[in-house]
Amino acid sequence: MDKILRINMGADGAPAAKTEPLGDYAGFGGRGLTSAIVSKEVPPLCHPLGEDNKLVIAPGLLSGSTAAMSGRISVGCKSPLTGGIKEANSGGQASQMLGRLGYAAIVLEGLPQDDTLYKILINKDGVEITDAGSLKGLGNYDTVDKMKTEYGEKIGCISIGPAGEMKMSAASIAFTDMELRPTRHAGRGGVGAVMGSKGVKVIVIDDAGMKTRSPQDPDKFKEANKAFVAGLKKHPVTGEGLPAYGTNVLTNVINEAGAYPTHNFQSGQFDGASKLSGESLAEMENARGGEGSATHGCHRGCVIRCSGTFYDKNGNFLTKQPEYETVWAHGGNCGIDDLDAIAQIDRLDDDFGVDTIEIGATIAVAMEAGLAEFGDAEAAINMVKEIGKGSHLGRILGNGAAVTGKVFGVERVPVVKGQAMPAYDPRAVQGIGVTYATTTMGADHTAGYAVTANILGVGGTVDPLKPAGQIELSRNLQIATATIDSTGMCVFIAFAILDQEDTFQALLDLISSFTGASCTADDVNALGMKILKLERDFNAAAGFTNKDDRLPDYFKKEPLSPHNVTFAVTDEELDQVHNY
Amino acid sequence: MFRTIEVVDMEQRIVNEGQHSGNTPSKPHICMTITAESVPCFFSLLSAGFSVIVKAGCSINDLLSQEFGIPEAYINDRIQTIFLNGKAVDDSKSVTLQDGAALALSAAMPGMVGSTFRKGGVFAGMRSQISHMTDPAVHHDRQTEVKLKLFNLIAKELGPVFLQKGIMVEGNTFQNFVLRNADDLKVACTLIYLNDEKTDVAGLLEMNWENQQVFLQVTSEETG
Repeated sequence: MDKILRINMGADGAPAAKTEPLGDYAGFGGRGLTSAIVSKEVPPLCHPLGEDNKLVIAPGLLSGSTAAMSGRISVGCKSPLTGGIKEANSGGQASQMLGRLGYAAIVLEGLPQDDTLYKILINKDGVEITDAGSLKGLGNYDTVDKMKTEYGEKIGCISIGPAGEMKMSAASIAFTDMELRPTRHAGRGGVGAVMGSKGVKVIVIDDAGMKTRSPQDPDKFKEANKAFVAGLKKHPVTGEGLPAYGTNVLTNVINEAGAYPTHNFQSGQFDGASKLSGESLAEMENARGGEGSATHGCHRGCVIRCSGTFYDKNGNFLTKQPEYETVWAHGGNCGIDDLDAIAQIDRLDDDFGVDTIEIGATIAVAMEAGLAEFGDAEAAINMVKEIGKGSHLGRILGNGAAVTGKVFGVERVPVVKGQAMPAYDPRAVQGIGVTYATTTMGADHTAGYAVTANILGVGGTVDPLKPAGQIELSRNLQIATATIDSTGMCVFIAFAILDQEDTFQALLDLISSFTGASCTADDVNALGMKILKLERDFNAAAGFTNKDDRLPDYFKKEPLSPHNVTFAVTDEELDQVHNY
Repeated sequence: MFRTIEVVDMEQRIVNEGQHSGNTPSKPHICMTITAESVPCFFSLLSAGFSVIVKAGCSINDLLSQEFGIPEAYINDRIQTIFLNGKAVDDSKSVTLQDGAALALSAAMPGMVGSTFRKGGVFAGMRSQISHMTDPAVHHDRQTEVKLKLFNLIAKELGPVFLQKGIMVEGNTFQNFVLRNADDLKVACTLIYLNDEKTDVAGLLEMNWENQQVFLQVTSEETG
């Protein structure tokens, strides 16, 4: 992975591809690389859908190797949803394949000179860019099926659906999974709209003839990988809870805590939560059976296997196992307690290519506006279909919760920097509210993940029982997450690292034995801080101030049942998060 | 190791409760024998919550270890997430159960927010506004009824024992459960008794248990 593929979509005559060495970007991967390129090369004040924006797709540092859990891929750009820097990441096969082909990043630049839609083939022989007019308007599933017919079944696809073509701000980019289905998405921030603005429908990756990337110290790498996998397997979260129930195992617990946003964040508990729980979903999937039903990986090399496959009542494949965020967004947040209906919406979201969190939040805002009753699953399904059709209503909904709230005059719109909040009410879990408010990405639950300050030693030890600790915790977690996102590692490795120091050491050994450079906890911290600084500097130049690092006002005023709490972290405290 | 857990005989507790209050217990008593692979079907009843009779004022830890007989190692290591009345508990030894309490038990949870709910975890500060404070110890001789919810791995591991010993659930909750799973239960249940008389799934659906509890015992063919 020593080269960057740049494709100028606006080159004279036709799009032109060139490869160049990493240069100043050496040492970066994943989010680190996307943010480094965007912050250096994209004018912060440019229009996100204009010629100056760039779409950067970057595998993690360890992608393409045999390191377990190293198959995450990052997508970066200036976001049409937030107006700030964006990194959205995904599972799927593309990261490993691009890594094996030697690409540290694909950068789409410029704008096509007309409305031609393109497909890009990347293989061991180079890059081929051809007309993809026949794919216009197709959903991700049909697009991938056509690519399968054309290029065979050993490819990986990166594609957009109609939402991306229509440049909707909630549009995602789909990545195919191990079964060559477009079920994995870089969902957040409208990255699909930027790909659509570049006129690229699909990137087909074929790594036939390429070898797995070799570590600098194979023996140490093998040993570290073995220890790392053993650590993941012995931990109750990564070794048992996630494989058995998936991320949706959180539903019962978050609901019990009164932190489960219900009916567009009107209350913190949903009566139908147990019907939506990971336990119920796993039971349903196990009863229906089928390949990879309740336990499945999202990419090769995944040992946690928190995903699954959702088959309908007749045993036909419908979609991947919906994640906790998806089940919440289309479930409790919209008052819907029917897993089959939620899976159907998930399939539509994936096919049209939209972010499930953003669209779930948007439908709930629309329901609050009176477009439908909370709990009306059929109405929710129809709203998503409007997005796919690109009707006037669909165009509004497809541009997210903030736009929809503005159009329909709704005050209760749960967004930060224009991006919808995920499945945890920040009044109940105020530490997550600090992260929602202050992350560079807009409201994002993965921006500050579970790598403990006490292990990483970032910013000293925090007293967890003092409310003031929320600021320090959020800061430390944001730094640590930026680093994990750069390795291509799934953030869920964090649990094993959190509890087992030997597993954290195994991760450091894995990185250092692969790269040949020493990797310590201090290096991890330094990289995370560097990435966050790049991102914050970009946002500042794009016009963001500390006034954007705030939750909507109603979170401070409307008590959340059942605990009747409001968001109590002060603006002054929020302003301290990025003092480092 | 979990097979060794001996949950207190809840039927005996109900009899004791009746003697204590001077009332004769009159809860419908349902005994179901099911195929071993069908046990998970009943876990939704455990996560929705069932009633148990406990010593008023006892600590969560005492309830789990002394009254339910759950090994300390399991309580300390496996039960990582505890809620009492919806508030996260950090120290199970210093939080006591009062009348009408709702206690939920879960394994360690994923995600940043899942991690914040771990008892005594480093992220506990992130949810300090909904943490359960320490209660003053108030011990009573009387017994009281609390609701217990078992989630995820805890339901999987402790659930079969509770089901075998018997749980008290709201009548309409149980009937909704039977209605929702009627087809599966018709296949899974090899024997059903209602108050010692043989019946079937249809027979259960015909009953009217609105506003009363039922006592349910579920034995799998493997455990039975």
